[in-house]
This record gives sequence, C-alpha cells and structure tokens, in this order.
Amino acid sequence: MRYVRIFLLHTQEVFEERSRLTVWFLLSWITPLVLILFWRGAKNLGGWTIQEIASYYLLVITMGVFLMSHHEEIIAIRDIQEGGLTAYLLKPFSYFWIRFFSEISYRFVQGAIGFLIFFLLIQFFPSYFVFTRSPLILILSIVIILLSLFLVFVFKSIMGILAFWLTDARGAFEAMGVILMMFAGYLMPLAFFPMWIQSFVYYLPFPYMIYFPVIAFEGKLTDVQLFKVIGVEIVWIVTFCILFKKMWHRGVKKYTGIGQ
Amino acid sequence: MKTLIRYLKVYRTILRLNLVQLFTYRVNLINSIIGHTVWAAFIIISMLLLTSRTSSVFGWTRNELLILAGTYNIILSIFYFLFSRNFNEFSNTIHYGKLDALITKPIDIQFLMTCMYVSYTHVIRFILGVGFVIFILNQMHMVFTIVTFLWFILFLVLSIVILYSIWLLVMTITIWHTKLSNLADLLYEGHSVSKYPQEIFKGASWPVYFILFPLTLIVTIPTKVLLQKMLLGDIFWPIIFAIGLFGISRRFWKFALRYYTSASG
Repeated sequence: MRYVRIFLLHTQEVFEERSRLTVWFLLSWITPLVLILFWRGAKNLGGWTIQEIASYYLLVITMGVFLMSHHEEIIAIRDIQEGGLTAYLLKPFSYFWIRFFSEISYRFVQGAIGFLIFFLLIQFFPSYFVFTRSPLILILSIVIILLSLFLVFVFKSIMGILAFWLTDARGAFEAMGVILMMFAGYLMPLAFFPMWIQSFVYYLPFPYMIYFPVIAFEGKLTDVQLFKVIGVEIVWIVTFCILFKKMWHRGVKKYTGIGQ
Repeated sequence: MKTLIRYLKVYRTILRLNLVQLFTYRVNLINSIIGHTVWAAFIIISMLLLTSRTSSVFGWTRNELLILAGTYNIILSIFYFLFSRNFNEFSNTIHYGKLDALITKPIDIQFLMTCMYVSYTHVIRFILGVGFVIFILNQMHMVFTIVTFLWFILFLVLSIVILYSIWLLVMTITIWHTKLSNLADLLYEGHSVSKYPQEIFKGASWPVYFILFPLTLIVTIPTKVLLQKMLLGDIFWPIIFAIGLFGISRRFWKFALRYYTSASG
C-alpha cells in the first residue's frame, strides 16, 4: 500500500511538470519520424513494405515512451553525487522499489498518451499499421512488454549506481545511449542489420528492451518465438537483479552522506 | 573596432579559463573524450547500417551519405565546442537567478550567456570528422581545390550561425518557463534531422518542411559543396536564413529579457 502511495504522489508530480513532459514526449517522436521519411527513398527495404516500416517506427515511439525509463541520471547525480540518497537510506523503504514506483508513474502517464495517439492514428490511417489480431499473441506480447519495462528499469538502475565508483558517469551514459540507439531497435529493425551483427546481437539484453516488444506486437513472431523471448527476458532480469544487489551492497559502503 | 578588440580580449580570457578548468577535472576530461568519440563513431556507423541494404536514398549514393555524416560531425563539433555548454546552462542560470550577476556586467549579456563556456573536448569529434571526410573523398577520387575549400568554409560558418540562432530562439523561452531545461535535449534531437539529405523532407507535409527547412540546409549544402553538386539556388538560402534568423533571435532575446524576474520568477 505504501508503494501505491509513492506511485500516486509521483503521478501528481508528473502532472505538475506538464510542459517538461510535453517536451520529452515531442523529443521521442523526432528521430523515428525522420527515419520513416528516410526509408521512403530507399531502393531496397529488405522485404518489408513502407507500411510495415512506418508501423515499426510508430510502435518504437509508443513503446519507447512507455518502456524507456530515464532514472539513471537521478540516481547518479541527484542521489549519489549530490548526497540525496541519505534521505532514502534513513527511511524504512527499499530504495530500489521507491525508484521503481516513482519511475513507473512517469512511464504510465507517457505511455498512456503514446497509446492514445497510436490508437487515434490507427483510426485515421489504418493501412499504415500492422499489428497482431490474435488474442494469444496479444496476451504474450503484453507479457513481453511488461517484462521489458522491468528489464529496462533494472538495467538503468545498474547504470545509475555506477556513480558509486565513477565521479562522473556521463561518458558511460553516452556510451549506453549509443548502444541502445543501435541495438534496442531505435535506429532500424534489427532484421535489417548484416547477418554477422544479427548473429550476436540477439544474445545481448538490448533487443529485448524495445525491438522484441515491438515486433511481438506487430505479430512478426510465432508462439514458440514469443515464449523464447519471455524466457530470455526472465534470464536477463534475474541476472541484472543479482548484479544490482551485489553492486548496491558494495556501493553503499563507499557512499558518503555529503555526496561522492 | 575598439569594441571588437575588447570583446576579443575578453574571449581570449574565457578560452584560457576554460582550458584551466579542463585540466583541473581530469576524470571529466577522459569521460567527455570517450563520450564524444562514441557519438562521432555512432553517426558514421548508423549511416553505414542504414545504407547496408540499399545502394542509394533519394539519389544520394552510399559514399555521399557517408560524407554527409562526416560533415555533420565536423559542423556539430564546432558548434558544440563554441556554444552547446552555454545553452545547456541557460535554464539553470535563469531559474536560479544567476543572470542577476551577469546582467550588471559592462558587457553584452547575449555574448556572456552564449560564449562563456568552451568545450575543448569536442576537438576530438572534429578531428574524427575531418579525417573521415578526407578518407571517403579520396576513395571517391574527388578533386578538392582551394575554391571548394573556401566555399566549404563559407557555408560552414553560415551553418554555425543558423544553428546558433535556432538554439538562441528556442532557449530564450526559458526566460518565461525557467524549468524547461529539457528544451536543450529537444534541440540536440531536433538538429539531428540535418544529418539526413534535404530531399527526404520534401515528401513531408508543408508545415513540417517549412519548420525543418533551415535545419536541412545546415549539413546538406556544405556537403554538396564538397561533392561539387551545389546549384545556384543553394547559395542563397543559407545566407538569407543565417542573416534573418540571427537578427530575429537577437531581437527575441532582448525582448524576452524585459520579462526576466530573477530567482523569484
């Protein structure tokens, strides 16, 4: 119940910052929309139609605003470097879950707006949207999406607590941003990558953050493949949770109350 | 002339102070170099990946698109070197009332707000960009004359002026909405549209094309100069937009300053 209160409090905060929220929302639309325009002029679309590509990028936008949390900088700068963590350590709450419930309030509000726009676009431009109508695939896709939400959260939390060891984590965050742009599927569908890249990229956690939720929702995966994606996501979540716990216990010992 | 010399002297001091700061925080220096190198590489790699399945996009061949990406790195690195850190600080300076201290100084406030910080670490991105463009031009057996070089420098300067003016126009909004620090993030994302050929936006609806038009000139025109594909019409738009946007942004900044209400705003 207390975590629900945290969630509700932060949801209020989201609505307090409406203008900032709008800017973040607009920001997530720019690159995918430009890439749709780019592919219109490409001679070879790798077996995809322009409708499928447009649908892919519009789903990347929608999934992106819902799934991609941005709390790593809050953890690294506000909490660890500037000493804000002290207030949380003194409270009878788990820091991990406080951050989780505060972050998902942002994700739910942004995701709701994203899905609303997506729904409206489907009504006006139905031919431009490809997504599954099978109830089983839809249910499995929702499971994949929810697991991705948690996977991204734990991964970004790990990135954030790197600040226990790094006095300035900006370089690490920039590298992470680039890796996500390429391997999470923001840049283009991973199926367009050369085969030698595809052969290793599916072993990484990044495609499971955006790419697989999108193509699962599009109905591009079979039942077996969907279960496989769920399995891999669970493996990555468990791995990251263990890693986070170990890093947290070591990091907190290094933490000084006045900041790093 | 006297004023210009005075400002050049001030800027020399700014450059020196920033250099001292750079070497004081060495971990930041290493971090920034890693970050900029990764981004410079990403721009090139992303273009390589986008063109891995297609030989041309809107009439631009793969090598031409790679030169476009390299030129984007060159132009952006100069802009980031000179101005980006200043615009990043805009919202904080205004929100916390730090502008009070600057506004009382006997120097142009726009100059102080937009030129006080220099990011030396972006030099690495510039070097990588130049090296990459020369490499591809060599592969294409392009002849690079002194005339081409001078045209390129002219359009490079115009592009920086356009970018500066757009950033100033947008960031000035923080005078009224002081918490909108993420406007800078919007601009970083926004000017990334310039790394694609101008032609791709012609299919977009006219309001979108109209808004994006100045951004589409920034990299496409200097790249056309390098590829010796520049048309007569290409010369005028960057000049018109550079002069027009610079004038408008300066007027808008001066107008907005009347509404500055210090930290209590």
